[in-house]
Amino acid sequence: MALAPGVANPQEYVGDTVAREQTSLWADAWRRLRRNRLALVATVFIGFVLLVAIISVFWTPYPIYRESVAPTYEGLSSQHLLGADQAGRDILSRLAVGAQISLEVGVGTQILVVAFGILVGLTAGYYRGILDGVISTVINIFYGIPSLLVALLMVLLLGRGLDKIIIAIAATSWMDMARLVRGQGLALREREFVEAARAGGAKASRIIFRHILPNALGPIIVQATFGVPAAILFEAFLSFLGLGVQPPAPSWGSMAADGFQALRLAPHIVLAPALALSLTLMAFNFLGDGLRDALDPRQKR
Amino acid sequence: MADRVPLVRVENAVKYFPAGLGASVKAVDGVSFEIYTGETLGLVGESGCGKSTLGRLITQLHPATSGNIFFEGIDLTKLSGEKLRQHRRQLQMIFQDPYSSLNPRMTVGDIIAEPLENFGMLRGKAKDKRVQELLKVVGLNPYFNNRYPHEFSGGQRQRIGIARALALRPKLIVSQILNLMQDLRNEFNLTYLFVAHDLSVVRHISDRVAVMYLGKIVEIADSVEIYRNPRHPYTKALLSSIPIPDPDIQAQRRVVSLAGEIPSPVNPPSGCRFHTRCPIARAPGICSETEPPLEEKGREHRAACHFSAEVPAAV
Amino acid sequence: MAAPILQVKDLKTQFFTDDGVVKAVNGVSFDLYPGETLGIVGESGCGKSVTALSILRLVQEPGRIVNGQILFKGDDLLELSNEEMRELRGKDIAMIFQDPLSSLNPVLKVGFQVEEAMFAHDRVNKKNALSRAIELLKQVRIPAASSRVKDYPHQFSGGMRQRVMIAMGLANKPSILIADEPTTALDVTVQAQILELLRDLNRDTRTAIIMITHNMGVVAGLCQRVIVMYAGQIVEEGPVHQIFHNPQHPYTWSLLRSIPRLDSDRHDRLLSIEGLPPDLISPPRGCKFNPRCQFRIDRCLREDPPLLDVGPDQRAACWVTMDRALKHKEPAVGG
Repeated sequence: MALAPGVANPQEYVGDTVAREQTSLWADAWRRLRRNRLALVATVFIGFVLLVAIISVFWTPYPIYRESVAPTYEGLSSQHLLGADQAGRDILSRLAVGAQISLEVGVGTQILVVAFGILVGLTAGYYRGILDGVISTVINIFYGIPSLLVALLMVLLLGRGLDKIIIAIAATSWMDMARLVRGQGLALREREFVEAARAGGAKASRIIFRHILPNALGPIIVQATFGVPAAILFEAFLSFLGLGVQPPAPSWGSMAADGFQALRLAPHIVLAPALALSLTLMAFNFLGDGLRDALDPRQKR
Repeated sequence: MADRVPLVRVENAVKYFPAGLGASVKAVDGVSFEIYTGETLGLVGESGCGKSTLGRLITQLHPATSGNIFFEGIDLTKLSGEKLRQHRRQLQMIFQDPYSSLNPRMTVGDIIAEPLENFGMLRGKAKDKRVQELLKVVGLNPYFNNRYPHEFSGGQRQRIGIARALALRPKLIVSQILNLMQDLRNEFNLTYLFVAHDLSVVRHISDRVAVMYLGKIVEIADSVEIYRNPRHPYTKALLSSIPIPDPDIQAQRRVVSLAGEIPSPVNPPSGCRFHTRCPIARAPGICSETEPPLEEKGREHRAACHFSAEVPAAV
Repeated sequence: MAAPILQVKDLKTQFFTDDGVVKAVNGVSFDLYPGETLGIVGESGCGKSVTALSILRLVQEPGRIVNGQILFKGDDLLELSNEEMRELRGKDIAMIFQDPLSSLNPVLKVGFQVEEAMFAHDRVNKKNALSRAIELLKQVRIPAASSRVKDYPHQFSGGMRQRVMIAMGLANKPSILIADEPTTALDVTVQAQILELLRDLNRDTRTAIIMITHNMGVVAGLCQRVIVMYAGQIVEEGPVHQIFHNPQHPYTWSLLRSIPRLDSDRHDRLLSIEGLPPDLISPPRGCKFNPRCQFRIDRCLREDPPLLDVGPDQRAACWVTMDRALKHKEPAVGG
């Protein structure tokens, strides 16, 4: 060789140069989410809806159940910013309380869906075998039954309280989540870090909760975020049909149904809840999109 | 070197994976050999030959379909549950892919500490201290224990994987990477099974080399001997295929070209599995009819070939 | 020597990312002569693949060629319209990649894809197309070529798929074939076959080959000339014998010392190149290799060494080598 080896370097740590300063993958995802304008606007809007919902627990411009606080079908005015409905109730007040109902339904169903989906999905995905066969069959059967039918039956059986509606909607929408988690479980359990954990003596519970679940959380969060508007819409739909929360509780769906008869005379009665519903659904969908991009592991190894 | 005490004895190990419609992939199909205490045994073969599966059988990451795997005289295939978990501590695996083998959601410190926690070996400060020691052993800065795997390069990640495998002070390491192996062997009194596809790397580090083809060991011998005097035509072909980084030597070498492709491990050929591609096979004839046993062809040198005397020596 | 068929002059390709400008190729110049085999070697991320993609103007956003000339038979490829460039790709300069499966369309028969590669440029008689496709597959030594044209890509093994890719690359008798790590995903016995094929094709068709690889053994067996890249720059270049027997850049030397050889003495210690490849967004001052170099002198920390002659047809970018070359009044030769 032309070049003689130089004096041996003093022992240095190979790890003293680290690729790039970063914190956890979660922090990294948050950084990416903040860069997404649309998702950011959506988050701010959802925050606003949440704020309105919280305020309306304690205070609304007018009592929401009292009729004739304004002339019936009153249009937009300074006293009643969004007008009044066919019974002379203040629409803004009812819309604000409707936000409560929508968010409770949306988030409530997703809490149930996530909990049940993780339980069922991870059991099927990790243990495979007969358990997986049974669970997958049940999932497919549920897919086969029209969700409206399931929801109707549940409402008939359980009653029309908000909690019952939440359970009914969750019962019709848990399958996507379970299937997603099952797929994640199946894929992750074959990853080498899971094998390495097993070689290191990790027990099943540890493998499931420390190795598989944290790595499946990204897709689960995205799926749940998309599930929120779907549940809100479903509740509105049920209420529109008169099968949702018991009137006179102001669900956006039943508000729209109320105004439907007088669509020509006072379109604002329908438009106000419809617009609130559309904007909220859109916001959750944009946030879901943003989260998917931010949490997508394919962008970075 | 080795005092010739077998640490691991594999007897007729078989691993079939179901391939649908009643068929099965015969990944490992009747393999017997020993790994002696303190030695490095290299296991080579091309993709799909079953070498990785064999490594996983020995570390008990896959249960064997049949056969026995003795570790220090105890048949691991007869153990299960907590007993198996306790014995498996002694056998660790170092994975090849530095990206998929570390949990991206855990810090490096947690990754290395996990095996210690699994066996309740150390707690609190003592555990942290041990983790930092392990990081130092593999040449990483011990104060990087709070960082995440993606902050490290591929080579550094491999070292993290090595530290994790060393945490339980195992006796046998099944490794797919070369990194640091020579340095750690003496310090930790390790016995290695080194699984790789590159014979030049394997030869460089191993005392003995075993060559696999389609689920079988076709040759096993001292690493100098197998290079100078291969007794199986597949070993010979493998050796001649590896490029040597020297243009003059490359110009003179003749590659033993293999006919056709590796047959499917679902339906391996009859007789000698290599006969469909072998340059010296008698087929139809003994090679396509009778499976050659892995038998002594010289001192500490076994090969499975009916015509091993015809394999030309030296590269 | 004949005129070069391809001249790359001061090529700079940069990627404009959120984190900063990645200088992937940073002033690369080299010539390729008709019919020669040129190896470009280096670690992953050294810019060798981006150099190849730049030649064909296939660099994807956010990457852009920001400077340089790529002269093919005298014409600057960077001046051509997109249409003219498309004409030229595959016809005059073909490229094959590491992963042949993702380069082939899974739902189309292999024969059809080879025919398509021909149709893209030449008006081949439809009747002759099939026989020409079979002929091409035979040329890359695919057994039973006439029946295999009806098969789909997934029915081929990795090695056979790479042969199909080579056949498609050769369909229009290009004067240059760029091969980007074509054997990295393959087993050694298959790699040996593909390399033999490329060697024979180069000899028979006189197609010049640019072989991009990290494997020094592959270069030794195939190439006549070698370019060693580090951090987006050429650090050494020369005939294959000199690069392997008389390397003049510490990086080349380290590369050769870091790989185990089948014919070396066992337990020879391998010299791994410690440290990380440089950050291409803010590379180190001076010689880019200086943080990992065991021969560095003060000057290496301050100034970037130019690529200068250090021997017959051999050039290197290293202050240490240059110093010594000056002292001895002639290029350092040793073994």
